[in-house]
Amino acid sequence: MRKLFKNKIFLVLLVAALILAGLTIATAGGRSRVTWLEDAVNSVAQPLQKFSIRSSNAIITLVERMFKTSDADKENDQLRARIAQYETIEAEMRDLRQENERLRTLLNFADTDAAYAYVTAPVIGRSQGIWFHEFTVGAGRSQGISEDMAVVNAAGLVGRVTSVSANTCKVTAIIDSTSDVSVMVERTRDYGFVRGTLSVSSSNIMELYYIPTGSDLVPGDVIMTSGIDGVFPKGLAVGVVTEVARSSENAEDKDALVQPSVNFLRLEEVLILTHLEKEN
Amino acid sequence: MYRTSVLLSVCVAFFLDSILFARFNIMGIRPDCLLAVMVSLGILLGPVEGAIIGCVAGLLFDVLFGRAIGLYAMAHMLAGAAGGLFFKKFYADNLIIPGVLASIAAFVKENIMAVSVRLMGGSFGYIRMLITYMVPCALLTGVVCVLAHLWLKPAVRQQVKKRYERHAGGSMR
Repeated sequence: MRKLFKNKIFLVLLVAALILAGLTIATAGGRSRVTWLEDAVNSVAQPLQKFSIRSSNAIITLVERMFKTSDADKENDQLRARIAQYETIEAEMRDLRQENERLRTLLNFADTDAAYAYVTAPVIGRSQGIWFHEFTVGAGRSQGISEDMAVVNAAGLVGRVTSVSANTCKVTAIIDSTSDVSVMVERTRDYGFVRGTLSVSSSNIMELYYIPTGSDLVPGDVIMTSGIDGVFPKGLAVGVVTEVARSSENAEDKDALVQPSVNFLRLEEVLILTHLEKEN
Repeated sequence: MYRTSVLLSVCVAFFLDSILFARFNIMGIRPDCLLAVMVSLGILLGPVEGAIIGCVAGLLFDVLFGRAIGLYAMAHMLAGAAGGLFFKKFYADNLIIPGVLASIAAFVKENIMAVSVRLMGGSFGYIRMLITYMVPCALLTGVVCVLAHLWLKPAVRQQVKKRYERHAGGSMR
Protein backbone atom coordinates (compact mmCIF):
# COMPACT_ATOMS: atom_id res chain seq x y z
CA MET A 1 0.00 0.00 0.00
CA ARG A 2 2.83 2.39 0.96
CA LYS A 3 4.53 1.50 -2.31
CA LEU A 4 1.40 2.48 -4.20
CA PHE A 5 1.28 5.91 -2.57
CA LYS A 6 4.91 6.49 -3.59
CA ASN A 7 3.92 6.00 -7.22
CA LYS A 8 3.70 9.49 -8.76
CA ILE A 9 1.25 8.47 -11.50
CA PHE A 10 -1.09 6.92 -8.96
CA LEU A 11 -0.96 10.01 -6.74
CA VAL A 12 -1.65 12.38 -9.66
CA LEU A 13 -4.56 10.18 -10.78
CA LEU A 14 -5.97 10.07 -7.27
CA VAL A 15 -5.82 13.86 -6.92
CA ALA A 16 -7.34 14.36 -10.39
CA ALA A 17 -10.14 11.88 -9.61
CA LEU A 18 -10.88 13.65 -6.33
CA ILE A 19 -10.95 17.06 -8.04
CA LEU A 20 -13.31 15.71 -10.74
CA ALA A 21 -15.53 14.09 -8.10
CA GLY A 22 -15.72 17.44 -6.26
CA LEU A 23 -16.50 19.22 -9.52
CA THR A 24 -19.26 16.69 -10.22
CA ILE A 25 -20.86 17.23 -6.83
CA ALA A 26 -20.58 21.02 -7.19
CA THR A 27 -22.22 21.08 -10.63
CA ALA A 28 -24.76 18.27 -10.25
CA GLY A 29 -27.44 20.53 -8.78
CA GLY A 30 -27.73 22.53 -12.00
CA ARG A 31 -26.29 25.92 -12.87
CA SER A 32 -28.01 28.91 -14.38
CA ARG A 33 -24.83 30.09 -16.09
CA VAL A 34 -21.93 28.17 -17.51
CA THR A 35 -18.27 29.23 -17.55
CA TRP A 36 -16.72 31.10 -20.49
CA LEU A 37 -14.75 27.96 -21.35
CA GLU A 38 -17.92 25.87 -21.66
CA ASP A 39 -19.44 28.69 -23.71
CA ALA A 40 -16.48 28.59 -26.08
CA VAL A 41 -16.52 24.78 -26.39
CA ASN A 42 -20.27 24.74 -27.05
CA SER A 43 -20.00 27.52 -29.66
CA VAL A 44 -17.18 25.76 -31.49
CA ALA A 45 -18.89 22.37 -31.38
CA GLN A 46 -22.39 23.56 -32.36
CA PRO A 47 -21.91 23.55 -36.16
CA LEU A 48 -20.32 20.10 -35.94
CA GLN A 49 -23.18 18.82 -33.80
CA LYS A 50 -25.75 20.22 -36.23
CA PHE A 51 -23.97 18.52 -39.11
CA SER A 52 -23.74 15.25 -37.17
CA ILE A 53 -27.42 15.23 -36.25
CA ARG A 54 -28.41 15.89 -39.88
CA SER A 55 -26.21 13.08 -41.16
CA SER A 56 -27.44 10.75 -38.43
CA ASN A 57 -31.06 11.52 -39.32
CA ALA A 58 -30.27 10.77 -42.95
CA ILE A 59 -28.70 7.41 -41.99
CA ILE A 60 -31.67 6.50 -39.78
CA THR A 61 -34.18 7.44 -42.49
CA LEU A 62 -32.22 5.33 -44.99
CA VAL A 63 -32.10 2.28 -42.70
CA GLU A 64 -35.79 2.62 -41.83
CA ARG A 65 -36.64 2.83 -45.50
CA MET A 66 -34.57 -0.33 -46.16
CA PHE A 67 -36.43 -2.30 -43.49
CA LYS A 68 -39.83 -1.17 -44.66
CA THR A 69 -39.21 -1.94 -48.32
CA SER A 70 -41.39 -4.63 -49.88
CA ASP A 71 -40.52 -6.58 -53.07
CA ALA A 72 -42.50 -4.22 -55.25
CA ASP A 73 -40.74 -1.25 -53.71
CA LYS A 74 -37.37 -2.91 -54.34
CA GLU A 75 -38.24 -3.35 -57.99
CA ASN A 76 -39.40 0.19 -58.08
CA ASP A 77 -36.15 1.32 -56.49
CA GLN A 78 -34.14 -0.59 -59.11
CA LEU A 79 -35.99 1.27 -61.80
CA ARG A 80 -35.46 4.51 -60.03
CA ALA A 81 -31.72 3.84 -59.71
CA ARG A 82 -31.43 4.22 -63.49
CA ILE A 83 -32.20 7.86 -63.24
CA ALA A 84 -29.79 8.68 -60.44
CA GLN A 85 -29.91 12.41 -60.79
CA TYR A 86 -33.67 12.42 -60.58
CA GLU A 87 -33.58 10.26 -57.48
CA THR A 88 -31.15 12.59 -55.73
CA ILE A 89 -33.47 15.51 -56.32
CA GLU A 90 -36.39 13.44 -55.10
CA ALA A 91 -34.55 12.47 -51.87
CA GLU A 92 -33.68 16.08 -51.21
CA MET A 93 -37.29 17.05 -51.83
CA ARG A 94 -38.54 14.37 -49.45
CA ASP A 95 -36.22 15.58 -46.68
CA LEU A 96 -37.33 19.16 -47.24
CA ARG A 97 -40.99 18.12 -47.24
CA GLN A 98 -40.58 16.26 -43.92
CA GLU A 99 -38.78 19.22 -42.40
CA ASN A 100 -41.50 21.50 -43.73
CA GLU A 101 -44.21 19.30 -42.21
CA ARG A 102 -42.50 19.23 -38.84
CA LEU A 103 -42.01 22.99 -38.80
CA ARG A 104 -45.58 23.52 -39.99
CA THR A 105 -46.88 21.39 -37.12
CA LEU A 106 -44.76 23.36 -34.70
CA LEU A 107 -46.05 26.60 -36.18
CA ASN A 108 -49.64 25.44 -35.82
CA PHE A 109 -48.94 24.67 -32.21
CA ALA A 110 -47.42 28.12 -31.72
CA ASP A 111 -50.51 29.71 -33.29
CA THR A 112 -52.81 27.95 -30.84
CA ASP A 113 -50.69 29.13 -27.93
CA ALA A 114 -50.15 32.71 -29.00
CA ALA A 115 -49.80 34.00 -25.44
CA TYR A 116 -46.20 32.82 -25.42
CA ALA A 117 -43.18 34.03 -27.26
CA TYR A 118 -41.12 31.08 -28.39
CA VAL A 119 -37.85 30.10 -30.03
CA THR A 120 -37.65 27.13 -32.39
CA ALA A 121 -34.45 25.11 -32.06
CA PRO A 122 -33.04 21.78 -33.25
CA VAL A 123 -32.00 18.99 -30.88
CA ILE A 124 -28.26 18.58 -31.50
CA GLY A 125 -27.17 15.97 -28.96
CA ARG A 126 -28.29 13.61 -26.22
CA SER A 127 -26.72 12.28 -23.05
CA GLN A 128 -25.17 8.81 -23.19
CA GLY A 129 -27.05 5.89 -21.65
CA ILE A 130 -30.42 5.80 -19.95
CA TRP A 131 -29.47 7.24 -16.57
CA PHE A 132 -30.14 10.84 -17.56
CA HIS A 133 -32.64 12.00 -20.16
CA GLU A 134 -30.99 15.23 -21.11
CA PHE A 135 -30.42 16.72 -24.53
CA THR A 136 -28.60 19.66 -26.03
CA VAL A 137 -30.60 22.16 -28.05
CA GLY A 138 -29.21 24.63 -30.59
CA ALA A 139 -30.43 27.87 -28.98
CA GLY A 140 -28.91 29.73 -26.06
CA ARG A 141 -28.45 33.06 -24.30
CA SER A 142 -28.04 34.88 -27.63
CA GLN A 143 -31.59 33.81 -28.56
CA GLY A 144 -33.02 34.92 -25.20
CA ILE A 145 -33.06 31.51 -23.53
CA SER A 146 -32.66 31.31 -19.77
CA GLU A 147 -32.85 28.62 -17.09
CA ASP A 148 -36.21 27.01 -16.19
CA MET A 149 -37.94 27.90 -19.45
CA ALA A 150 -40.47 25.30 -20.60
CA VAL A 151 -39.65 23.26 -23.70
CA VAL A 152 -42.48 21.83 -25.81
CA ASN A 153 -43.23 20.41 -29.23
CA ALA A 154 -46.46 19.97 -31.15
CA ALA A 155 -47.37 16.88 -29.10
CA GLY A 156 -46.86 18.41 -25.66
CA LEU A 157 -44.40 19.08 -22.87
CA VAL A 158 -40.80 18.03 -23.49
CA GLY A 159 -38.92 19.36 -20.46
CA ARG A 160 -37.23 22.41 -19.01
CA VAL A 161 -34.01 24.29 -19.67
CA THR A 162 -31.45 23.45 -16.99
CA SER A 163 -28.31 25.23 -18.18
CA VAL A 164 -27.63 27.81 -20.84
CA SER A 165 -24.54 28.75 -22.80
CA ALA A 166 -24.17 31.39 -25.52
CA ASN A 167 -25.63 29.38 -28.39
CA THR A 168 -26.83 26.12 -26.86
CA CYS A 169 -28.77 25.00 -23.82
CA LYS A 170 -29.35 21.72 -22.02
CA VAL A 171 -32.87 20.47 -21.50
CA THR A 172 -33.87 17.94 -18.86
CA ALA A 173 -36.73 15.87 -20.24
CA ILE A 174 -39.85 15.18 -18.17
CA ILE A 175 -39.06 11.45 -18.49
CA ASP A 176 -35.82 11.91 -16.50
CA SER A 177 -35.99 9.99 -13.21
CA THR A 178 -34.98 13.11 -11.28
CA SER A 179 -37.64 15.30 -12.90
CA ASP A 180 -40.94 16.18 -11.21
CA VAL A 181 -43.78 17.99 -12.98
CA SER A 182 -46.87 19.33 -11.26
CA VAL A 183 -49.85 18.06 -13.24
CA MET A 184 -53.63 17.95 -13.35
CA VAL A 185 -55.99 15.26 -14.62
CA GLU A 186 -57.96 16.97 -17.39
CA ARG A 187 -61.27 15.21 -16.66
CA THR A 188 -61.33 15.16 -12.84
CA ARG A 189 -59.19 18.31 -12.25
CA ASP A 190 -57.21 16.44 -9.57
CA TYR A 191 -53.66 17.61 -8.95
CA GLY A 192 -50.61 15.39 -8.73
CA PHE A 193 -46.98 14.96 -9.81
CA VAL A 194 -45.49 12.96 -12.64
CA ARG A 195 -41.98 11.63 -12.40
CA GLY A 196 -39.83 9.86 -14.98
CA THR A 197 -38.77 6.28 -14.40
CA LEU A 198 -35.59 4.44 -15.22
CA SER A 199 -36.47 1.73 -17.65
CA VAL A 200 -34.78 0.03 -20.55
CA SER A 201 -37.87 0.02 -22.74
CA SER A 202 -38.32 2.72 -25.36
CA SER A 203 -41.83 3.61 -24.14
CA ASN A 204 -40.45 6.03 -21.48
CA ILE A 205 -43.37 5.46 -19.11
CA MET A 206 -43.76 7.99 -16.27
CA GLU A 207 -45.34 7.54 -12.84
CA LEU A 208 -48.16 9.65 -11.41
CA TYR A 209 -48.11 10.43 -7.67
CA TYR A 210 -50.12 12.29 -5.01
CA ILE A 211 -53.54 12.04 -6.66
CA PRO A 212 -56.17 12.53 -3.90
CA THR A 213 -57.69 9.40 -2.39
CA GLY A 214 -61.05 8.63 -4.01
CA SER A 215 -60.16 10.10 -7.37
CA ASP A 216 -61.73 7.97 -10.14
CA LEU A 217 -58.68 7.89 -12.36
CA VAL A 218 -59.18 5.64 -15.40
CA PRO A 219 -56.91 4.56 -18.27
CA GLY A 220 -57.16 7.08 -21.08
CA ASP A 221 -57.35 10.12 -18.79
CA VAL A 222 -55.35 13.00 -20.20
CA ILE A 223 -52.68 14.49 -17.94
CA MET A 224 -51.69 18.14 -18.40
CA THR A 225 -49.55 20.67 -16.56
CA SER A 226 -51.22 22.37 -13.61
CA GLY A 227 -49.11 25.51 -13.70
CA ILE A 228 -48.72 25.61 -9.92
CA ASP A 229 -45.02 24.76 -9.91
CA GLY A 230 -44.25 28.11 -11.55
CA VAL A 231 -42.04 26.48 -14.17
CA PHE A 232 -44.46 25.05 -16.71
CA PRO A 233 -47.46 27.01 -17.97
CA LYS A 234 -50.89 25.53 -17.29
CA GLY A 235 -52.57 23.28 -19.85
CA LEU A 236 -49.63 21.71 -21.72
CA ALA A 237 -50.24 18.06 -22.62
CA VAL A 238 -48.01 15.72 -20.58
CA GLY A 239 -49.40 12.28 -21.36
CA VAL A 240 -52.18 9.75 -21.09
CA VAL A 241 -52.89 7.35 -18.19
CA THR A 242 -52.20 3.81 -19.38
CA GLU A 243 -52.64 1.90 -16.13
CA VAL A 244 -54.13 2.82 -12.77
CA ALA A 245 -51.78 1.27 -10.25
CA ARG A 246 -52.81 2.54 -6.81
CA SER A 247 -52.88 -0.42 -4.45
CA SER A 248 -52.66 1.24 -1.04
CA GLU A 249 -53.38 4.45 0.84
CA ASN A 250 -49.65 5.14 1.10
CA ALA A 251 -48.89 8.48 -0.57
CA GLU A 252 -45.45 7.23 -1.60
CA ASP A 253 -46.98 4.58 -3.87
CA LYS A 254 -47.53 5.53 -7.48
CA ASP A 255 -51.13 6.11 -8.53
CA ALA A 256 -50.85 5.43 -12.23
CA LEU A 257 -48.55 4.94 -15.17
CA VAL A 258 -48.52 7.68 -17.77
CA GLN A 259 -47.45 7.41 -21.41
CA PRO A 260 -45.84 10.72 -22.45
CA SER A 261 -47.49 12.62 -25.30
CA VAL A 262 -44.10 13.32 -26.85
CA ASN A 263 -42.15 10.66 -28.73
CA PHE A 264 -38.71 11.31 -27.24
CA LEU A 265 -36.98 8.94 -29.66
CA ARG A 266 -37.95 11.08 -32.63
CA LEU A 267 -37.43 14.50 -31.17
CA GLU A 268 -35.78 16.70 -33.79
CA GLU A 269 -37.03 20.25 -33.20
CA VAL A 270 -38.49 21.87 -30.12
CA LEU A 271 -40.09 25.14 -29.09
CA ILE A 272 -38.69 26.95 -26.07
CA LEU A 273 -41.35 29.15 -24.46
CA THR A 274 -39.41 32.28 -23.63
CA HIS A 275 -41.99 34.38 -21.77
CA LEU A 276 -45.64 35.30 -21.51
CA GLU A 277 -46.47 38.09 -23.90
CA LYS A 278 -48.27 41.02 -22.31
CA GLU A 279 -51.96 41.03 -23.06
CA ASN A 280 -53.23 44.22 -24.61
CA MET B 1 -1.17 9.66 -38.42
CA TYR B 2 -1.21 8.85 -34.71
CA ARG B 3 -2.84 12.12 -33.63
CA THR B 4 -5.32 12.03 -36.50
CA SER B 5 -6.31 8.46 -35.61
CA VAL B 6 -6.83 9.31 -31.94
CA LEU B 7 -8.85 12.43 -32.80
CA LEU B 8 -10.91 10.59 -35.39
CA SER B 9 -11.69 7.69 -33.05
CA VAL B 10 -12.77 10.11 -30.29
CA CYS B 11 -14.98 12.06 -32.76
CA VAL B 12 -16.59 8.86 -34.06
CA ALA B 13 -17.19 7.70 -30.47
CA PHE B 14 -18.82 11.08 -29.67
CA PHE B 15 -21.07 10.76 -32.70
CA LEU B 16 -22.08 7.21 -31.89
CA ASP B 17 -22.69 7.85 -28.18
CA SER B 18 -24.54 11.15 -28.36
CA ILE B 19 -26.46 10.86 -31.60
CA LEU B 20 -26.67 7.49 -33.29
CA PHE B 21 -27.02 5.09 -30.35
CA ALA B 22 -29.32 7.56 -28.58
CA ARG B 23 -31.85 6.73 -31.31
CA PHE B 24 -30.66 3.33 -32.47
CA ASN B 25 -30.51 0.86 -29.61
CA ILE B 26 -31.92 -2.47 -28.56
CA MET B 27 -34.38 -1.87 -25.70
CA GLY B 28 -32.20 0.99 -24.47
CA ILE B 29 -29.07 -1.18 -24.45
CA ARG B 30 -26.15 0.51 -26.12
CA PRO B 31 -22.35 0.39 -25.82
CA ASP B 32 -20.22 3.17 -24.38
CA CYS B 33 -18.01 3.75 -27.39
CA LEU B 34 -15.91 6.52 -25.84
CA LEU B 35 -15.06 4.30 -22.88
CA ALA B 36 -14.12 1.46 -25.25
CA VAL B 37 -11.80 3.77 -27.19
CA MET B 38 -10.21 5.05 -23.96
CA VAL B 39 -9.48 1.53 -22.70
CA SER B 40 -7.94 0.61 -26.04
CA LEU B 41 -5.81 3.77 -26.12
CA GLY B 42 -4.70 3.17 -22.54
CA ILE B 43 -3.54 -0.33 -23.42
CA LEU B 44 -1.74 0.88 -26.54
CA LEU B 45 -0.20 4.10 -25.23
CA GLY B 46 0.26 3.62 -21.51
CA PRO B 47 -1.46 4.90 -18.35
CA VAL B 48 -0.38 8.55 -18.54
CA GLU B 49 -1.46 9.16 -22.11
CA GLY B 50 -4.58 7.02 -21.64
CA ALA B 51 -5.61 9.01 -18.56
CA ILE B 52 -4.90 12.40 -20.18
CA ILE B 53 -6.84 11.60 -23.38
CA GLY B 54 -9.64 10.07 -21.28
CA CYS B 55 -9.85 13.10 -19.03
CA VAL B 56 -9.90 15.62 -21.91
CA ALA B 57 -12.42 13.64 -23.98
CA GLY B 58 -14.58 13.01 -20.90
CA LEU B 59 -14.56 16.70 -19.96
CA LEU B 60 -15.60 17.60 -23.49
CA PHE B 61 -18.43 15.06 -23.30
CA ASP B 62 -19.49 16.53 -19.94
CA VAL B 63 -19.59 20.06 -21.35
CA LEU B 64 -21.48 19.09 -24.51
CA PHE B 65 -23.92 16.44 -23.26
CA GLY B 66 -23.47 15.76 -19.54
CA ARG B 67 -25.59 16.61 -16.52
CA ALA B 68 -22.64 17.48 -14.27
CA ILE B 69 -19.10 18.52 -15.16
CA GLY B 70 -16.56 15.88 -14.15
CA LEU B 71 -18.60 12.68 -14.12
CA TYR B 72 -17.68 11.38 -17.57
CA ALA B 73 -14.19 12.93 -17.26
CA MET B 74 -13.52 10.90 -14.13
CA ALA B 75 -14.91 7.68 -15.59
CA HIS B 76 -12.96 7.99 -18.85
CA MET B 77 -9.75 9.11 -17.18
CA LEU B 78 -9.84 6.06 -14.91
CA ALA B 79 -10.70 3.80 -17.86
CA GLY B 80 -7.68 5.14 -19.79
CA ALA B 81 -5.45 4.66 -16.77
CA ALA B 82 -6.82 1.16 -16.13
CA GLY B 83 -6.09 0.26 -19.74
CA GLY B 84 -2.56 1.57 -19.21
CA LEU B 85 -1.97 -0.98 -16.45
CA PHE B 86 -1.77 -3.58 -19.23
CA PHE B 87 0.60 -1.52 -21.37
CA LYS B 88 3.47 -3.75 -22.59
CA LYS B 89 2.25 -6.58 -20.38
CA PHE B 90 0.79 -8.90 -23.01
CA TYR B 91 1.10 -9.78 -26.66
CA ALA B 92 -0.12 -6.97 -28.88
CA ASP B 93 -2.44 -9.31 -30.79
CA ASN B 94 -4.35 -10.29 -27.67
CA LEU B 95 -7.95 -9.09 -28.00
CA ILE B 96 -9.36 -10.74 -24.90
CA ILE B 97 -7.74 -8.34 -22.44
CA PRO B 98 -9.09 -5.13 -24.11
CA GLY B 99 -12.56 -6.70 -24.38
CA VAL B 100 -12.69 -7.92 -20.78
CA LEU B 101 -11.15 -4.73 -19.40
CA ALA B 102 -13.63 -2.51 -21.31
CA SER B 103 -16.51 -4.63 -20.01
CA ILE B 104 -15.29 -4.26 -16.44
CA ALA B 105 -14.71 -0.50 -16.91
CA ALA B 106 -18.20 -0.08 -18.40
CA PHE B 107 -19.74 -2.04 -15.55
CA VAL B 108 -17.96 0.14 -12.98
CA LYS B 109 -19.00 3.29 -14.88
CA GLU B 110 -22.65 2.22 -15.02
CA ASN B 111 -22.54 1.65 -11.27
CA ILE B 112 -21.08 5.13 -10.73
CA MET B 113 -23.93 6.53 -12.86
CA ALA B 114 -26.47 4.52 -10.86
CA VAL B 115 -25.12 5.94 -7.60
CA SER B 116 -25.20 9.46 -9.10
CA VAL B 117 -28.84 9.05 -10.15
CA ARG B 118 -29.73 7.78 -6.66
CA LEU B 119 -27.97 10.75 -5.05
CA MET B 120 -29.85 13.13 -7.35
CA GLY B 121 -33.19 11.70 -6.23
CA GLY B 122 -33.93 9.09 -8.89
CA SER B 123 -35.34 5.73 -7.83
CA PHE B 124 -34.99 2.36 -9.55
CA GLY B 125 -34.63 -1.33 -8.83
CA TYR B 126 -30.91 -2.08 -8.84
CA ILE B 127 -31.18 -5.81 -9.62
CA ARG B 128 -33.57 -5.16 -12.52
CA MET B 129 -31.23 -2.50 -13.95
CA LEU B 130 -28.23 -4.77 -13.40
CA ILE B 131 -29.74 -7.59 -15.42
CA THR B 132 -31.60 -5.63 -18.09
CA TYR B 133 -29.17 -2.77 -18.67
CA MET B 134 -25.79 -2.72 -16.92
CA VAL B 135 -24.53 -6.20 -17.81
CA PRO B 136 -25.69 -6.15 -21.48
CA CYS B 137 -24.21 -2.64 -21.93
CA ALA B 138 -20.91 -3.74 -20.37
CA LEU B 139 -20.71 -6.78 -22.66
CA LEU B 140 -21.52 -4.68 -25.71
CA THR B 141 -18.83 -2.16 -24.71
CA GLY B 142 -16.35 -5.03 -24.56
CA VAL B 143 -17.24 -6.02 -28.12
CA VAL B 144 -16.88 -2.41 -29.31
CA CYS B 145 -13.49 -2.19 -27.56
CA VAL B 146 -12.24 -5.24 -29.47
CA LEU B 147 -13.30 -3.57 -32.74
CA ALA B 148 -11.76 -0.23 -31.68
CA HIS B 149 -8.55 -2.02 -30.69
CA LEU B 150 -8.37 -3.77 -34.07
CA TRP B 151 -8.66 -0.39 -35.79
CA LEU B 152 -6.45 1.64 -33.46
CA LYS B 153 -3.55 -0.82 -33.17
CA PRO B 154 -2.29 -0.51 -36.77
CA ALA B 155 -3.18 3.18 -36.84
CA VAL B 156 -0.96 4.03 -33.88
CA ARG B 157 1.64 1.33 -34.57
CA GLN B 158 4.60 3.72 -34.93
CA GLN B 159 3.72 5.55 -31.74
CA VAL B 160 3.20 2.25 -29.93
CA LYS B 161 6.60 1.04 -31.12
CA LYS B 162 8.29 4.17 -29.82
CA ARG B 163 6.61 3.78 -26.44
CA TYR B 164 7.51 0.10 -26.18
CA GLU B 165 11.10 0.91 -26.96
CA ARG B 166 11.16 3.78 -24.48
CA HIS B 167 9.64 1.67 -21.68
CA ALA B 168 11.22 -1.68 -22.37
CA GLY B 169 14.41 -0.43 -23.96
CA GLY B 170 14.10 -3.14 -26.55
CA SER B 171 11.93 -4.58 -29.25
CA MET B 172 8.18 -5.21 -29.21
CA ARG B 173 6.98 -8.49 -27.81
